[in-house]
Amino acid sequence: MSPRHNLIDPDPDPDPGAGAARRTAALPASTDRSDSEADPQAGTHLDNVAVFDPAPGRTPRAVPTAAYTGALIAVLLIGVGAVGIRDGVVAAGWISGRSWTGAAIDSIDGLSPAGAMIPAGIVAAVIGLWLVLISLSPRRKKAVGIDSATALFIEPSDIARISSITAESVSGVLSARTSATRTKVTIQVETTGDAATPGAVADAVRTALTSLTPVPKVSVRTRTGGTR
Amino acid sequence: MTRTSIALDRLATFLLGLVLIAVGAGAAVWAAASVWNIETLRGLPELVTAPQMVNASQAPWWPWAATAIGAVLVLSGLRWLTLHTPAPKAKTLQLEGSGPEGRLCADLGQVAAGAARVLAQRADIHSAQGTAIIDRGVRTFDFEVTADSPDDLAAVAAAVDAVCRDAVSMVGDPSLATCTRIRIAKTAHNGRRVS
Repeated sequence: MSPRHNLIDPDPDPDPGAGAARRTAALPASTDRSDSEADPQAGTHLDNVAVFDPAPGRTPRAVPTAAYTGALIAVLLIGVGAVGIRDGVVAAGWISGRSWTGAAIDSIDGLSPAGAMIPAGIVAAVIGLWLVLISLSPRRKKAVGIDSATALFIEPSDIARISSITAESVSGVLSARTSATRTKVTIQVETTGDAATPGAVADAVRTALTSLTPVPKVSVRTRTGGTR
Repeated sequence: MTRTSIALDRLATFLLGLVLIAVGAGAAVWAAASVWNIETLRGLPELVTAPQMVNASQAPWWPWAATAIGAVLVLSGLRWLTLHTPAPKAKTLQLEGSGPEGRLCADLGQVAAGAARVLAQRADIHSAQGTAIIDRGVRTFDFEVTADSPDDLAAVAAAVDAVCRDAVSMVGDPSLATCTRIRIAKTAHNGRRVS
């Protein structure tokens, strides 16, 4: 292993005293909290060194829709620019043809009202309104926090996986499928017909998800096995 | 993506939206006034005329001006497209002890990768990846940790907490943030049977 990888040493140090001294020398002297408070099974440990809590990380957010429209506008810009460059190429005599920018201006000059402009104009205005709205809309959060000392998150697809696995571990459940959002978990379970099973599933899943903040609402839909 | 590129996308989208609303609504009202002969809109012009633009487009300098503006638009569009990339990487961080005699730097990407390797060695963790990015203006160790089972979530969270503290403490800069996405392995199962 290269020395650089020793910044965090995954292997137990055969000489803890020497290891601690080496790491201590590489770190600032100020001490916020001793690492000895940490769970010895939880991860790596730095002995006799300053331990800092990390700054809270930002909640993962989806790419804003405006980023896609922005990329589309950039492509349109390139297209319009290419039309302008083509006019120069035509004027230089490298290719034959008529100026496209001139043709576009000619088509606008003398334009008169037409019935088709009404639906086209309405469609354009609606698209414009949608663009204005998405340009102002905030980025969607795409994960739920986990109750912990540092910034931990879990996405709805994994909440659904936890819920399905937990539901399938409940007595009387034959199979389970889950759909999840950040705020709600819906579990569809196939049961043996025991009336207490849906409640047991809901309780088990709620318990499995208690460390999430906020805890999603859990709803259970049941179907008795073999009635498909 | 950087905050600048997102702000640029939002501004361009907003302006294009306003233009489409104005042009679309204007065209619809103009055409409706003419087609249905609406009394209150009788003062609207019957033709769009742009004689100065037509004259300009026939001038000898027009194609060269169009070419120059077109080149600027193509280059701007390409530059704009290149801004649509994932969050920029956080590279090195200057450590305490740097001075005229030399600089001490930590490669944040390597620290994150090392921390992920530590996590990946645990029996209850299926895999772990770590990178150092600049997330919305904050240098962040970004981890994705896949747990073997939902049962291990609490233990994995505790391990991640400890490793995140260690990684930040190694560098000695508490302004560094950590962000960890916990995944559950697709092959995960729960051995317990709740009755």
